[in-house]
Parts: sequence; C-alpha cells; structure tokens
Amino acid sequence: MNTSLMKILTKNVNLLLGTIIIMFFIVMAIISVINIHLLTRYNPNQINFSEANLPPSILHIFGTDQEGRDVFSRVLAALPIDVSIPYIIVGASVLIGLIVGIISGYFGGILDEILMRFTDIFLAFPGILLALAISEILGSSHLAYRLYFSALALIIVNWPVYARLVRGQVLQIKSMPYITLAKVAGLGNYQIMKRHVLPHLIPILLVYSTLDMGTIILSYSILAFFGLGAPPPTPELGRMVYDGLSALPQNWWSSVFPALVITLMALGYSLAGDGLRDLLDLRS
Amino acid sequence: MDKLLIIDDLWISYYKDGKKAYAIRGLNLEVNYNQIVGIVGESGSGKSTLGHAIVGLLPSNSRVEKGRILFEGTDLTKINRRDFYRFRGKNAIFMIFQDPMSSLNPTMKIYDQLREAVQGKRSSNEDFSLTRWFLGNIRKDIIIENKDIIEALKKVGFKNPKEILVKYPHQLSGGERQRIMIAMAYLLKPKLLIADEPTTALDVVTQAQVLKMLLELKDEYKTSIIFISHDITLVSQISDRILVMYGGILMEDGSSEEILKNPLNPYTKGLISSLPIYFKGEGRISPIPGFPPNIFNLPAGCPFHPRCSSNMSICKLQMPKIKKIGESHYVACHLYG
Amino acid sequence: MIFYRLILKRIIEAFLVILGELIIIFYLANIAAPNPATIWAGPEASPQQIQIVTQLYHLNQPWYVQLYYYLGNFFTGNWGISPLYQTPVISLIEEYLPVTLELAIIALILKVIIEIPLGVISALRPNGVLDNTIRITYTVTRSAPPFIVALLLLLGFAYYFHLLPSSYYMNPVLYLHEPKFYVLLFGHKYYIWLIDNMPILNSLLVGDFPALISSIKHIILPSLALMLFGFGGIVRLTRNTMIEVLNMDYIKTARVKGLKERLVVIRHALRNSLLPTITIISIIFSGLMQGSLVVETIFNYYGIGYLIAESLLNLDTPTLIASTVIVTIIVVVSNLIADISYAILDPRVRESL
Repeated sequence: MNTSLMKILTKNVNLLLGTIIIMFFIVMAIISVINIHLLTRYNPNQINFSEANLPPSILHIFGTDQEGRDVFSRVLAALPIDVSIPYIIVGASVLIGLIVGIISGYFGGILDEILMRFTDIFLAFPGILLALAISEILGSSHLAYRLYFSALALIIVNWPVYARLVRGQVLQIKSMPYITLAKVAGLGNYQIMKRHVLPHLIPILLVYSTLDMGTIILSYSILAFFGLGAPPPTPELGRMVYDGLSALPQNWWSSVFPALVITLMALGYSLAGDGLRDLLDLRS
Repeated sequence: MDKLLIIDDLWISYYKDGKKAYAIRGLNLEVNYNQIVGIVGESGSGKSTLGHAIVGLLPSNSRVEKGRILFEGTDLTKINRRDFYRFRGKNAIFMIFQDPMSSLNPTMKIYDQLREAVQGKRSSNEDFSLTRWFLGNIRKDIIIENKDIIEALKKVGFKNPKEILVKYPHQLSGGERQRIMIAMAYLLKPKLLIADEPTTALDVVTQAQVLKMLLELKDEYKTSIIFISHDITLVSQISDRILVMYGGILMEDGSSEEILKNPLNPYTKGLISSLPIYFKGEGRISPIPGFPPNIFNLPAGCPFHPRCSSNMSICKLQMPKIKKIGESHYVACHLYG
Repeated sequence: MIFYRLILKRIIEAFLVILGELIIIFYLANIAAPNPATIWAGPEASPQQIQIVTQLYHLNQPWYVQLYYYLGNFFTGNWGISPLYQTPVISLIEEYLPVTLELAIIALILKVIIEIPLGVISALRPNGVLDNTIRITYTVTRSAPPFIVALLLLLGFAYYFHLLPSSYYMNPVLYLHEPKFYVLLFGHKYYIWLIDNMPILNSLLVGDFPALISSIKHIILPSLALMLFGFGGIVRLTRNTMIEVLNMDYIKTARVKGLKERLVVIRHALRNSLLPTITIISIIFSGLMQGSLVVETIFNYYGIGYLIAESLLNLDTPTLIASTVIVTIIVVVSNLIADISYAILDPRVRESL
C-alpha cells in the first residue's frame, strides 16, 4: 500500500508538489494551534508601537506591521482559520451539491426542472458578490459571528456548481446499461444510487473539489479582506492585506507577505488538483 | 519528363510510443498524364499513407526515410511545409478524403469554400474577415454570383446550385458533401487528383455517380487520378492500371485487365476470389484466412506469408523483389523468381 | 434576421433570471436579514429614522406586499438613500459604474488581444518553450489572489520607479475642469451619464487632451492588474482547441486546395478555435467585474468595485444591494450577448433551437 502510493506520487510531479505544500500548511496550522511559541517568540496580538514598521530581518522574518506586531507570528496565528475554513466550505458544498445533483439527475422529471432552474439562478450571480452581500447582511448585527455567516454565504454560492456537475455525471451514468440491469435485478433506488452511481462520481468530485479548495481560499481571503471574516484582533490573512494597505508604500511587507502566503496555499491545491486530474482522468 | 508522377524506392516510417515501423517499404510507381491508377489494399497496407505523402500531408510522427516522389520532375520529398502550397490545388495536386462529413469547414458557407478553390493561391484575406463572418451569417444575400462555381455545381449533379451555395455543410448529406468536393476538383482542374476511399462512406447509388464524375473529370480536364480503395472491383471499374499493396509493399502492378484476368500474386488472387462476383455458383467463397498485420508487428520476409497458401520457406526470410512479367505487368513474389 | 425566435427566447430567459435574482436579494435583505430596518437605514440610524424607513419600505407588512413595492421601486430607479454618502443610491451608481465598465472592457480587450495569439503560437509549437512557460504561469496566476498582482504592480511601477500614478482614475484637478460630452438634439443639450463618467471615452469625445492622457496613464496599472488575474486561461483554451482543430479533415482539405499555411491557420483553424473562447468570455467578464472590487480598492480607482468595497467596510447596505444587483444584471446581459454572438458565428447551434 505504501509502495503504490509512493509510486503514484513520484510519477506525478504536480501531485507530489501540491501534496507537500498542503501538508506543510496543515502541519503549521496544527502546531500553531497547539503552541504557537514553538515557532515564534512573539505574541501575534502584542501591540508595540516602538517596534512598528520594521522591515523584514532576522528578528522579524516578515517584518512588523503598523502597530508593531510581528507579521510572521500573525500569519502563523491566522493559519488555523485560513486552513480549516475552506475544508468546511468545500465539504458542505460538495455534500449539498451531491444530494441535490443525484436526486435531480436520477429521478428527473419536474423535480429536475425545478431544481435546475433554481441552481441556474444562483449560478448566474457573480459568486463573490453574492457571498459578500449575504455575509454582510446576515452578519451585520452579530459581528462576532460574521465568520460563520461568511462560511455559510460561500457554501450557498458554491453548492450549485457541484449540483450541476453531479447531475451531469448522473445523467451520463444513468444511460449506461448496468443501471438498467440493476433495476431489473430488483435493486431499490437508494441501493442503486449508493452502490452503482456514487462510486463513479468520486473521481470527478475529488478532482474538482481539490481545485475548488484553491478558489475558495481566494474567495474567502477576499471576504476577509473586506472585514467579513473573524473579528479583530484575531489575525486573518485576507484582513492583514487590507490592514497593511494604509501603510503603503513604506511598509509593503505587512500586505505582501500575507498575500504571498495565500498564493502559496492556493497553489498547493491547484497543483494537487491538476495532478489528480491527470492521474484519474487518464486512467478512466 | 513524360510522366506526371514517378515514385522511386519510397520508404516511409511511423513513430508511435517510441517504436518505429514502416508504413511503406520500397515502393515504385508511375503515373502518366491523363491516366487513372487504382491502389488496392487492406488496412495497414500503406495505401492511405501513400496518398498523404504525395500531397505533403504526412503527420508529424511520420517521415520519408528514403526515396523520391517526382512530380513533373520536382522531388516533393525535399519541399518543406511552408512552400508545399505551390504544388497543391490549382493545376497541381488535389486530394479528396474518405469521410465527407468532416471534409468541409462547418462554420463556412459552401459558397465561401468553393470560392477559395476558384481563387486558388491568389486567395487573400479581404472578404474573409471577422466582420464579414458576422454579417455573412446574418444576411443571406451577401453572395456574389460566380459562373464557374455554378457550372461546377451543375456538373456534379446539383439541380439548384444557388440554393446550395448559401448552405452550411451540416445541412447537406454525406453524398452531397462528397459531390461538393468533386465540384472543388472541377474548379481547381488539378493535374493529379488523389481520391482516398472517396466512396467508402456512401451508398451504392451515390458511389456510381461519384465514379462517373471522376471519369468525366479525367476526360474533360485530362486530370490523372490515383484512386485508393480496399475494394478491387470498384477500382477496376475506373482504373487503367491497378497496384496492389500489402503490409507496405507493392505486391503487383499491372493494367486493369491483366490484374483481373491473370492475377499473379497469391494475395491478388485471394482478393479476387473472395469476391461474390467471381463466385461461380459452386463451392464457397474463399476469403483469405487470417487478418491484415499491424505495421508495428510485421512478419519477417514477405508480409503476406503467414496467410499465403503458396507459402515457401524462402518467404519467411526474404522480401520478394519486383519482377517484370509481361509487357506492363509487375509482381513481387518468390513464386516468380 | 434569421433567428428571431432564438434571440427572443434567450432574452426572456435572461429577464426571468434577473427577476429570480431580484427575488433572492429581496428575500435576503427584507426577510432573512436579522433587522431589515437597520439594513435600509444604516447602522447608526436613530429610532425615528428607523420608523421612517419602516414606513417607506413597508417593512412591517406581509412579504408579498413588500415584494410588490420592492420590485416597483427597483424598476422605477428608486434604490434607496445611502446612509454613508447621504445621496440617492442611483446617482452614486451613475457616477461610479461607467468607470468600472470602461476598466473591465479595456482589461477584457487586452486579455483577448494578448492571449489568443499566444494560444495560436503555442498550438503551432506544442510543448515548446512558450507553451510550457505559459502553462506554468497559468498555474500561478490561477492561485494568486487579485491583491497580490495589484500590490506588486503598484509597488513596482508606481512607488519604486515612479512611472505611473498610484491612485484615482485621473488627475483630480483635470477632472474638475473637464467638460462633459453632450448631444445636441433640437436645440437641447442631452448629457449621457454613461459616457459622462467614463474618463477615457469622455475625454476622447470632448477633445480634452490633457484629461485623455491623464486618464490613460491612470488606467494602465489597474487594467494590467485586472487582466493578469487568471492570465493564461484563454491561452490554454485556444491552444487546446486549435490543436484539436488542426487535426481535422477540413484543415487537410484547406491545405490541399493550395492555400498558404498562414491562410489555413487564420481563416480555417482560428475561426473554429475561437468558438469555445466566446463561450467563456462572459465568465471572464464576470470575473473581471468581481476582480475590480479588489483592484479598485488598492488603486483608489473610483469605480463600482470601489463603491462596493466602501459599502462593505462601512455597512452601507442599500448601496451594496443596488450595486450587487446592477453588476449581476450586467453579467447576465453580457452572457446573453455572448450566447447570441456564438449562435451567429456557429451555424450548427441554430438548428438545435
């Protein structure tokens, strides 16, 4: 089992590189939660104006921001949220999209029509805008829960994509002979869906959701940028970029480094997704 | 030179997945002016490769390793991709393909595609711009009448040429599309036309019509035709000479009559006797046993020996050389020395 | 025109989609929101203001009554008052929207002009240096958030090399004195707000040369930043499509007619390779409109992206809602135009409708 996994990874550079990056960030996030001082000696929220706006150096790898906080520590402290939220969002979107897509595609008829019209309307929205609007409106009164509303907003905007994807696949699968065979053999609908339809959906869902992780990381960072993420002083990569804007151009590091970290995280998923796609699609 | 086309000891290789194979080995062929030459073979015989090689359309994983293709004295194997257009189209070499469904550009009107043939090498980008593409698709009347085009369409049997001009390929049937290709040939008046299985995808009636049109093309414009097919009866109806290919090698070369009445090579005999027409009403049709070879897996020596009833021990070892038997009859087989 | 039916059908569909979206937004703002009155009145509204707003928008009445007034308001242009700017939302949108439209259209044109030829060249030399470089670049630009490119450009060109300005869409001094474009009809001057607020177009039409130069200088960096986000997508699509197309029989036919290679590629191959790009062009445009949010914020470029950003940061919900709806409508319309163009250019599609 170990050797075949290693073989797969080594053949496919994208997948290898991507997985390394993803694992790296997950590990860093875990360490950060357990004990951030394993990696840095500074307190991410410690305001210290005498140390403000220091450029990157050996003491402060990413420099300090306008309020004297060490940027590197803030990035580390932001990782747990920024690494885990995308999983929640993508996970929920996939789940909802899967259910709606299978029902819509498998049973067809008026149900399919209505569901598809519904998803079409959602799909016609420019994603981030709708998420911003939802998150702003719902979270306007409970600032502390903004984070959850933002996640919810992204889930609402994202699930239709999966619903469409799954439905398309289900329609293809439905026309295959073994489905008819299964029906003739007397299998109930639920059983058919579970044992015959679902396994075929897994590869494409895996590839797509991995690629989607990258997109969600970007979308979430934009939401955070506009203040719709965790409330301050909890650090968050997107928000750090915004905070650093007013310090431009002298203090570029407090905006640029968080943005670079976001890029790297998204890159990991992009590469892994591409690698997965090569691996799975070429085989099937 | 008297001959339109001379092919001299042609060897063409194919690469796939790092392996190399020969699609054509040591082929010799001559085509006169105003002559129809038929090339018969099963899949893997190299006949299609031959057609593409003459017109310079070999795919990128294929190469002419040895030999010459002399068209009116010029060696086409030495011409590079960019300059090859001089030897194609008007007054030169033209080719029609097997599948009429994909031979025409789906987003261009028939009129435009035929007009390109009329303009030939002088075709410029003037009236093919993006704006005209847009407008041309909206308004039906942006067509300038052209007598030559209408004539050509009438010759290939369209009763209402003007209606056809404004149509798109997907609005026509396979047979109609193939006739459009022949109309193109009428407009281009090539010296040499290569017809690569032009009737394989068509029904029998249309098939006969196409053959008739090709004959008319030859008669009226003195076009030579290389007619490629797997069907020897079809080929014999229209050709002056017939070449039989197998596994990349020329097996037999003679006039239509000689090949049909007096086939020398066992493979040719097999081809003829496996046809219902020659079934004399007694016994059974005798197809040739076995299957055509994969060029990556050719048997040593004569490629046909595994299936040949006259198999001799030398056939496994050496490739037979072409020998002349009779005035214009050539054969490659160990039975004849 | 040949296919009235198709166009009409598409227009009706688009209209229904817009209606559906309006309803969703309505649901969001008036029903699902924890406190609709605050939404419309602003977070710092006094109790009297909340009273007034509740009356005005019929917030205490059943949902169907609210929906009726909501839709009515929308179609009559009554989009509320912005608590932040204290002006009717509609005039804000009039002022800010054209700026972004201009920016997005220029970015789109740049993208298309640069990426499609690159795609063609990549297809003609597959797996060559250019092809691989673009493939790697695309992986990166796909993962980079819009701010990083904007930031890097800003820092590089504006601050370190002082080549280009760092904020606003035009030198403010020039803007104040800039004459507005008008059309003279029957002795009356008609000002077109759409053109008025497009810096480049307006200065071009009016002949205000310094303003034109200034606005061009100011648009270079933002449009570059906008264009680079996701750069390479169209290249890859064009390249892949073209490679497929070049293997088709009709390309062989075109060659065999005696056409020069260049004509074959441009007239036959390219035409058919452009079709998938047209399919995604509205998606790209939508992405550009969304990217303008971040880019305009970073460059202080007063377009609708900037407006939305400000309304987000200051909880100015009426503006947010109206802007979101407008941008969505623009995206739907662009989708419609792309669909219709595709049907015009690819005759095969028309039959199936």
